[in-house]
Amino acid sequence: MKRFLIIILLFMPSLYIAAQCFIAIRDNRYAQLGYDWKSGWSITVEHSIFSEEFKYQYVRLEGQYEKSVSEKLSFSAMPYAGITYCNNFYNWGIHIHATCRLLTWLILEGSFNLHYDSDYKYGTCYMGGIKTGICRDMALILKYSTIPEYRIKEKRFKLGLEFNVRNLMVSPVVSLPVDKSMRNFRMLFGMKYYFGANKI
Amino acid sequence: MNKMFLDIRRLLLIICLLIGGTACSDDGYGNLIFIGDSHVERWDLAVFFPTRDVTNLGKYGAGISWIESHAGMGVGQTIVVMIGTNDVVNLPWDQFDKYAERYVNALMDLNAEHLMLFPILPRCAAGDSDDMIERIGEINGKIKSKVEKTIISYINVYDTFLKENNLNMDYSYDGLHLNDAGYEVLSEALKKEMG
Repeated sequence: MKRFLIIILLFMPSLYIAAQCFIAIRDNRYAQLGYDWKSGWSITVEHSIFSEEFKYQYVRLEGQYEKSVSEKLSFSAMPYAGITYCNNFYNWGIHIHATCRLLTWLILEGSFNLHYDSDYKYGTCYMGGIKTGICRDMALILKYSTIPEYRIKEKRFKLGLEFNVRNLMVSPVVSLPVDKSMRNFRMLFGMKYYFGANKI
Repeated sequence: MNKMFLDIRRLLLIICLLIGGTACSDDGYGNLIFIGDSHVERWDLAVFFPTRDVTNLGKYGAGISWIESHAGMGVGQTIVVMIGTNDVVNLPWDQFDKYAERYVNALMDLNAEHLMLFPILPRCAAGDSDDMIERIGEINGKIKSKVEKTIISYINVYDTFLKENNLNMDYSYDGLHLNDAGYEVLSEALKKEMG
């Protein structure tokens, strides 16, 4: 019991710190831990969950600044750099994202991703799409993207759903190749959970 | 600007080394070029080799002439080959020796630094002859015996795909093309070969 109380007492200050912490999963294979400042800045550490040996796992550091220009328009810029433990490749770049709420139920999204990979070299990638509300907690997503899901720049359509309930966002997406066999579709899963304050 | 990214890269590398302590050098295989028929074309390499530099030169319906057309491309490269299932359908039994000779010559003409070869996998597609498994087994045997005298690494997954003298349908959805479980077998065997 004593130990239990000590753990609770030690944990209490972290509840305050955790008010702007989030955990997330990107594209099935990447786990994220991040921290948001109210000023619009955030920092994220991402780690891969590949079915590979540990030395081939990938770790990435991301910083982000988000700015709302008006109620309808916001921008964000996210520089990042990542590397595998055994240094068999590294990549870095910047992801610039814009979101425009055209109607209460319709959001237009666009991204530019200036991306460098140590093997595939430099590539300019982009994404454009819409998000349309189906009901209060659910939206339909339709995107065209060339931003790498892994390392390779690929042309893909993405069709999926986004559920937002309090601090939790969950997004299952089907990723369909444009110039390859349709058999190479991928079922992708993403989620984000904010501890404390309602951020979603 | 470049210096800043170099510093970030160094910092990340140091973090990785501190956390993982598993520093390794390049394993010597570099980027992987996959060449072959629809088995290769449908292989989602980005998913199965997420940290590798991979190129997919798979082509639906391709036969050994597809490999021959890439002669000389492999200088200093690691090439993974999977080809032959489209040739074996109409090949007369008395041509097997000649075909195996042509097959191995085509592989050698790639001039690859490392060359890894998968066998022709068993198949039971609609319209296949009753002796298809015997035909594939016979040709694989001839190719394997010729390959043993070369630098080619033969990744023998044939028996894994065989069940009761037929294609193991756990790894295929139509008797010819592989499903994700089938590609997982191929990917793991290749990773094991590369150490």
